[in-house]
Amino acid sequence: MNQLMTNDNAQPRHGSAIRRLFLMALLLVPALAVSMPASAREVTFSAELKPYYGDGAYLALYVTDDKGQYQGTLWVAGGKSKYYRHLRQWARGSNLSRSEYDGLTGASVQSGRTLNVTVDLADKLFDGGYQVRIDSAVEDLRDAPSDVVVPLTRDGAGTPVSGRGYVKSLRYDFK
Amino acid sequence: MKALLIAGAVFAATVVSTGVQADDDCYEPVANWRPKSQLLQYLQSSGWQVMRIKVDDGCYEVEGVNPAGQRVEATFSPSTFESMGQEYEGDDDDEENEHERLAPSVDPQTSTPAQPPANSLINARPKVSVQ
Repeated sequence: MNQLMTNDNAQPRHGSAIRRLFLMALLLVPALAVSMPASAREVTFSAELKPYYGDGAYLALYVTDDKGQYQGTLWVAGGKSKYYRHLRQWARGSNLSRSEYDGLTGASVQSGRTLNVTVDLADKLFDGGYQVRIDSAVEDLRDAPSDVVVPLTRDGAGTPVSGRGYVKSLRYDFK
Repeated sequence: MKALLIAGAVFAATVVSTGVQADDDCYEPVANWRPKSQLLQYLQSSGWQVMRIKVDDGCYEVEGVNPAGQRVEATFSPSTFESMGQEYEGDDDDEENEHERLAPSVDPQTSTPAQPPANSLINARPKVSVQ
């Protein structure tokens, strides 16, 4: 009987624990929803090309650490993979492995035009010593490895950085 | 022992030469090159419509329509005019290039199938436009 009474009493206590967990979950859901966008940022990189006489430029937009070690590819402009080796530093870092750029390629960019690439980037990349670089190359003209190098910082958003090859400037903006 | 060394050298030479043959590039001395105008004449007399001839990776690269009526990009030896290969319009590697030649300012997203990149930095295909 005593045992039975204990069990009877335990039932409502168990029910209130579930209610408490449910309430906690309800409180956590909005908190998680707020914290998730903070882990990634939507960033648009805009690379404006200089006016030059020549074919469309091949560009590799990629991330390195502060020592220039390749971390990953954001975009490759240029349709023919046989020319990718001219994007020299990116080619060395990525080993020209297809898995590094599959689904991340498009047309080359003509003289004077601006390439805009919008991606979600992890928040930790900003102020973490990472850089975004562009290697560029134009057929029958000189290759420009690390044409432009931009440190990824929160304060650096909106500030154009001049290139030394075919890129006139590269800037990034948060949404 | 000497025979073994010779056999090894022959094997290595075979491997190296196979590698060179597999390469798309041409390695002929410039002194042996024949002029573009001769290649143009040769191709036209063979039924080609030539749109452009340029030098690429040591070869002559020709854009045009071959005698079978196919639009191609073909590579020729600059000294012998031997065909080194052709890429047809619609080849996988050439699809984006074709897009690039015909409509360079169009958003490339519309021309390439969206494939999820196997990339540690991003997990979706970027939105890309050219202005």
